[in-house]
Amino acid sequence: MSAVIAPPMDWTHACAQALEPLRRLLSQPHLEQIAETSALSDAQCMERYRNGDVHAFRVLYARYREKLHRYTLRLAGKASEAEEIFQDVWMAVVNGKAGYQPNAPFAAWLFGIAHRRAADRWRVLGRHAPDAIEPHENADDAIEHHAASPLYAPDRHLDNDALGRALVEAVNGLPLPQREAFLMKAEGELSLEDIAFATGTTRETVKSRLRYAQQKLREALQAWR
Amino acid sequence: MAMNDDMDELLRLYRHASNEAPAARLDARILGAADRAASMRRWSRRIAWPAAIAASLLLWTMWPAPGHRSPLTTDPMAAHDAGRVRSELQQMDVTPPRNDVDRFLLSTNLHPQPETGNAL
Repeated sequence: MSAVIAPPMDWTHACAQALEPLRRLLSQPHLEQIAETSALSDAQCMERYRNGDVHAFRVLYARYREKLHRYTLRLAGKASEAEEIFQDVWMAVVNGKAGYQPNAPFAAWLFGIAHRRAADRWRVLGRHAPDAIEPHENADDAIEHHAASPLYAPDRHLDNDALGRALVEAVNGLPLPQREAFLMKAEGELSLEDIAFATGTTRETVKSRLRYAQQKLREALQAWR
Repeated sequence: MAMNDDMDELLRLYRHASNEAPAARLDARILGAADRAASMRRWSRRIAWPAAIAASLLLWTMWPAPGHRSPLTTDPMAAHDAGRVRSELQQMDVTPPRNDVDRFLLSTNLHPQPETGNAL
């Protein structure tokens, strides 16, 4: 006859229950916390990050990484330079999180940092900001070519990738202040007031820049219509 | 209204066409720096109360107890004068006068208040 030494079921059950939170914490790290943080506003995330919650920063980063990257890319023109500005901006957010005031939208604060970092960079490098980025190909020829093609009929042009590329080229060709205002609206979805806050100018100036940008973009895409 | 519609169409078209994303190594670098900053913040918050309590305990143990404090006499001459006055007072004859005349003289005010003339 063999004796089986087994702890009582109540005891093992109690231990398992006590260790369950720890097991969940180790197996699925912070999933609930991340889900909870994702529902917070930008200002609340920033407040949490200031208190040491790294998930809050990850949520903010996920929300704005692509938008800010495209903004710096269109602003700088070169990918390497855009990456440096992009990194500088996020490091400024990390190191200057205490300076954020919730009375301004986080997006306006973020794009404002990017605006100043880019200007500082060009000042240090001792050259002017790229006023208009050279297109990779002859945009006029491309537009004429595509416009003549039956593939690019007017009823299909809105979903057309080539039209989108032409628009991106046209945005790159805008003068810097107009390009910046357009990008802050397109990427950051900022209001006129927020763009004015970020660029340190007035609402009327921003409105005027956006109107000129719209006019030039419309002219650039005239052949597609 | 047409201007706004036109701008909305441009924005929609631009957002549809613009889809670049940063490189993964950039993400890793930035998120790593953010993690380090947040963990330092958490560490400093956790250590703040224990450090304050430890500092208070240290001050409490290092501070001299009231019974061991030195006398407040800081001036040596003042201590000397206080000792001299104490010895003079101890040598004074404080026995009551024996005869009536001495008792009368000691109890009489030798410097009466002058008459002011204001008494009613």
